[in-house]
Amino acid sequence: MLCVFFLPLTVRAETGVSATLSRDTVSFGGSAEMQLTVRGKDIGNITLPPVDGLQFEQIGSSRSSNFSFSHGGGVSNASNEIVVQLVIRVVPLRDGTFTIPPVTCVLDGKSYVTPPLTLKALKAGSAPGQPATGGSTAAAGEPPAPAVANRAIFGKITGVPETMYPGQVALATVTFYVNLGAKVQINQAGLPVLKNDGFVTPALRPEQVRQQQDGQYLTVSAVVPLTAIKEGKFELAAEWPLTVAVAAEDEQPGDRNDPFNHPIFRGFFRRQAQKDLTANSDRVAVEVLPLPVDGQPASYGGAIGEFTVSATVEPREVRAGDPLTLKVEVRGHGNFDRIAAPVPAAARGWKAYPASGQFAAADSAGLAGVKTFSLPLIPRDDTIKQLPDVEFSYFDPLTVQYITLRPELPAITVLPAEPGAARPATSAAASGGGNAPALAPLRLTAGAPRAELRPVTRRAWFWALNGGSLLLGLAGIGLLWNYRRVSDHEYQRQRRAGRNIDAALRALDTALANEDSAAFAAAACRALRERLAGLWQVRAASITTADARRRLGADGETIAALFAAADAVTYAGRRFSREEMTVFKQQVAEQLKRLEL
Amino acid sequence: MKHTPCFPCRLAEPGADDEPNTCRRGHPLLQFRARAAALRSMARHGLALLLTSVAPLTVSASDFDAANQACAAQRYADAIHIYENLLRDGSLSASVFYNLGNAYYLNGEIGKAVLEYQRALLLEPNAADVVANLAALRQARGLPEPVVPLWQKPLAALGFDTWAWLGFAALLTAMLGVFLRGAWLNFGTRQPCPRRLFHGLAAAGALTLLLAGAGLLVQARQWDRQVVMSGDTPLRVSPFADAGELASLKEGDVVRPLKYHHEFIYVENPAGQKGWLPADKLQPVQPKS
Repeated sequence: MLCVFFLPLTVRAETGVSATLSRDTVSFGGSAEMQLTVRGKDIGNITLPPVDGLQFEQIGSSRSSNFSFSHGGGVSNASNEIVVQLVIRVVPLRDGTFTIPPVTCVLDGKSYVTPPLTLKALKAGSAPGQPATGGSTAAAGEPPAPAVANRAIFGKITGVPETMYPGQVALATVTFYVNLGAKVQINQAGLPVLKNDGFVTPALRPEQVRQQQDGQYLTVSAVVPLTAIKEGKFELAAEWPLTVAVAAEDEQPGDRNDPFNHPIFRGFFRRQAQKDLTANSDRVAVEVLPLPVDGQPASYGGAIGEFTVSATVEPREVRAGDPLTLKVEVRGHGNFDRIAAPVPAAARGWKAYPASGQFAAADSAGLAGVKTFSLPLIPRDDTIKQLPDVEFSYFDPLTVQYITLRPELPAITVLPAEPGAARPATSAAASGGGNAPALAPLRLTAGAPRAELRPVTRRAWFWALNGGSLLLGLAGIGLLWNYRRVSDHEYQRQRRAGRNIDAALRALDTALANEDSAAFAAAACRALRERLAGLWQVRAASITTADARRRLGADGETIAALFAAADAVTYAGRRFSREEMTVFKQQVAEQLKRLEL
Repeated sequence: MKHTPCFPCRLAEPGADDEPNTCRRGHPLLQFRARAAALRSMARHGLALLLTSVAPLTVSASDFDAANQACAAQRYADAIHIYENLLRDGSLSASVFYNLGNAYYLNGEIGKAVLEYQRALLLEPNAADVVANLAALRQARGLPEPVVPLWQKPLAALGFDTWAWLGFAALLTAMLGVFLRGAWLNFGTRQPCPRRLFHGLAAAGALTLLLAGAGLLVQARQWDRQVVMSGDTPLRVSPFADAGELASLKEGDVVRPLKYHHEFIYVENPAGQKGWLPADKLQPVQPKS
């Protein structure tokens, strides 16, 4: 069961409901479109009764109204005729003849019914009724013009009014029909494109294109919102890029004796020509008229369609200086993307910020829904008793009139401001327009200040601290190096040997100066033994003349001779002259140097 | 009249009679009294400088409250004046920058608002209110949000100074580890050296130092950025007033200076476009000292 709900509206004039079918016969697997038109006031819900074997699907809706006005106290009371059109796809679930019972609609407290409709669903493959063709108004069951019906592919545009106004949005339906009986095979198909000069249309997406088998036709349809952008007379046309394979008829009947010259094989071996082509729809003329200048309200912001307005406010009790938010809801059907925010009238004691808007669409095209505007307002003092008046104006293309609405504003209470309170701004907008975003509040404590806004790395003392750390590390590295040196036994031994040799050489010099042969010989032997001990890693005292000969070979003879001379002084009482000691010292020095190498 | 010796030439005698305040070589000679007064003045200034550098800085609470009240009463010009005075007096706090940014925004001065928000973020990176208001401003004005690569986000969690101090602490830790090990080995007791402790200290310090280095590199860009102060500022292909335009920058766009040429700065905007801007159209986030 398909139910459609409408808001109550104040209307007058003709009341009634009608229903038509786009065709009375469809093949099983195809569909027909039922157009339901409702005129009246206080339109309640419309209920389509369930029909066994039929499936209903709403695929489009439009709403228009004819307003007349009685101005009183500056307020326009709208009385109008509302016309609601629903487009419902009817899909038979089996073949047979179906009767769609009367549709009941409650209008102005009375029930209205449509006449019953009959739809015949043929078995698949049977020839159904032809689709309506040409123009923007499709008549139910209207057969195509012969010239059109004979075409393999043709298209039409529906749903576009004959006259529009700049900014007005209409919902155009582009439908292409492919005659399945024609010898055409579509190999590749692009998306239909609506060609025009004076309109803005969004690019179609593949999921927006419907395709179905409808009797002997393959139908490809898409619904496109169409926004008029400039005045003038225009023609709308749709294009559909295709790559088709066209079967070429044999020009020669062929050899009768040819076993393959049979219709079956001719069909099998039929030559096909692949061809890129663009299918064009019928053209639809639209005239975009200028918006009337006379009677245009100051609060008009570009809305075209049919709307109602209501308002709420939060909070309803504020202190002077505190912000409140007036929410104005604009409901209806029209160009919501071009609706400007309602303008609060200049009122003493109020500070108004630019409003922000949020739209909740009720249909996929975004033509119906609710747009909610939030107007931040701040009462300056507690003498204020009511909200500033808010106006919303729109243009009704059906009545060709501007309509100004003023929502009923709720009552508010403004309390005195708290004395001495530094209230943070909670909402703000910079001058120059734009929506006002909510701002985080001011900080009430100043926090810890700095003397200058320079990074710490641009201060000398920071690098001095880092330099101190590096020095600490360098000191550590020095300590580690020292420890390694101290803990190296070989190094220590060498170092001790060096110290002993130095001491021995100093003693040698002293003995030479004193011409003390015994001390001289002892110091020379100690120096040589220390050097040899360092080389051989033995105790110096344990080195003998024999060791020198054995371990140094021929090189050790000189050292052995020196040892022997020294022994002669020590043990045999020989005395060196100064000259001998000088020569002896030179030989010791040479040997020490040689052993060092 | 007694003179101090001339500093360069150590001559106390004045020069010619017509120039009694200069030495014979023409150097000025200060009189004792003048020199003493100058020294006293220097001492006073030095002491004041020392005291101000040691004493904790404070923001005048009354001025700050007055500015907040002016802002709440929508006297934005008054609020801006008071906030600016606080900053001029050296009270550079994130709160003052942030509130000043709000006041500028409410007053419709978008470039200055962005500048003050950016300065607040230098002192308090990722402060929620500053980030939120800056984002709201950019959204309202159609200004691009700077794109932070995913790998930089953890490094952007801390401010430049925080990374700098972390780096210092890491360096000190690593160096202390090295020093303590050396000292233990050289002067320690006969107890075995806790090698793992010292090596761990050094390794942790070194790793943290690397991390801090990366953080500093990422955050350093925040400090050298500049804000476009007027709308429809053309980004030019070369540093000349009549050079071709590459793009037009909005008031409040944040750019990164790459090089300087006389009155022009070669910048990169958040979209990656590079070009020359007149220097007088920009304000550095880090004020020139």
